[in-house]
Amino acid sequence: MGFFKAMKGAKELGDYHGGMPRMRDAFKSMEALADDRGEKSILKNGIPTKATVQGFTTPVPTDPFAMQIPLDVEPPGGGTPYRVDYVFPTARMKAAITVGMVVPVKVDPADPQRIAVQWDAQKAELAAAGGDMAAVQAGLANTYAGTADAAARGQAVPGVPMTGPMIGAKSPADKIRELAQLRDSGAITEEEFETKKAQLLSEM
Amino acid sequence: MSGLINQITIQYHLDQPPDEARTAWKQSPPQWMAKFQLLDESYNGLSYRADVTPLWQRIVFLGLASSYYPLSLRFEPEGFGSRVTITGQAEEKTAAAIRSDAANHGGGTDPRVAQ
Repeated sequence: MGFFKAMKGAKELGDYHGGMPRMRDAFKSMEALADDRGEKSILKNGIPTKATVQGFTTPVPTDPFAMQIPLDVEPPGGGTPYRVDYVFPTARMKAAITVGMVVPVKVDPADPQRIAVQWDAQKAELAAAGGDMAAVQAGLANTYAGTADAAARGQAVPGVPMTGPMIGAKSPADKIRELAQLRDSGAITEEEFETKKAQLLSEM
Repeated sequence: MSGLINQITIQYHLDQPPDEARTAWKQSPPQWMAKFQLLDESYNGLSYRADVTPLWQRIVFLGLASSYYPLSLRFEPEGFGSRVTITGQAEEKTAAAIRSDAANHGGGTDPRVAQ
């Protein structure tokens, strides 16, 4: 009787979660799950570069099998990074990705907005950073250390949304310290130092 | 699907700078990589995969259920040379060869473990 009791329990649990999916729905879901949304083609023909994650992964409202994350992509030929709201099939995700991380990507040469994260290479990025948790913490620190510092000083952080680029953000005080070092080393004159210092103090 | 066994993560120093080391590795991989096939190349690394499907599994599943061990490499600057991070799965014999390779390059460390 143990077997039948276990099967009954399993059925009740299944029904609790909506029961067995209809076969047609199941095949549609499998098809959507396996759809790589063009990623294989980008990985095959794309140009390698890197991107900095500017936010957190969030669901795509119209696509239950995909996630999205904002990335600032460095153009493979150099130049100013540009924003891509990267939508990726969740089933292809092999490694952690979160704000502040630098991730390896490939860019479609015909359409730079089409990119694909190189998940196998991302695994090596995480390992080199000391593992998943260390990489996640470093990413958060990269992104929000400046915000926390400014908040601690009682400053407003203008225009910094949760996904705002804060990587490497330095406070005016840090910048003045760096300027003083440049002045002491002779890289800039006393006059240049004073001018820049006055500018920075006005921002505080 | 990546498994949980036979995992390896190791870092060691190479004398060449990252780009040079990566190109050299790609052109002539170490002997222990004989089973691995280059799958992808990123701005700072290489991704490989080895087919480790046993013969019985090929027969029973009519070649439809293969097993792979992935291995990813990342090269970053370290002094005048580079530091290579190798992570993924490798059979014990291969893992021993990787550790031996690391030992020949001044010793390997696991970056996930505080030194």
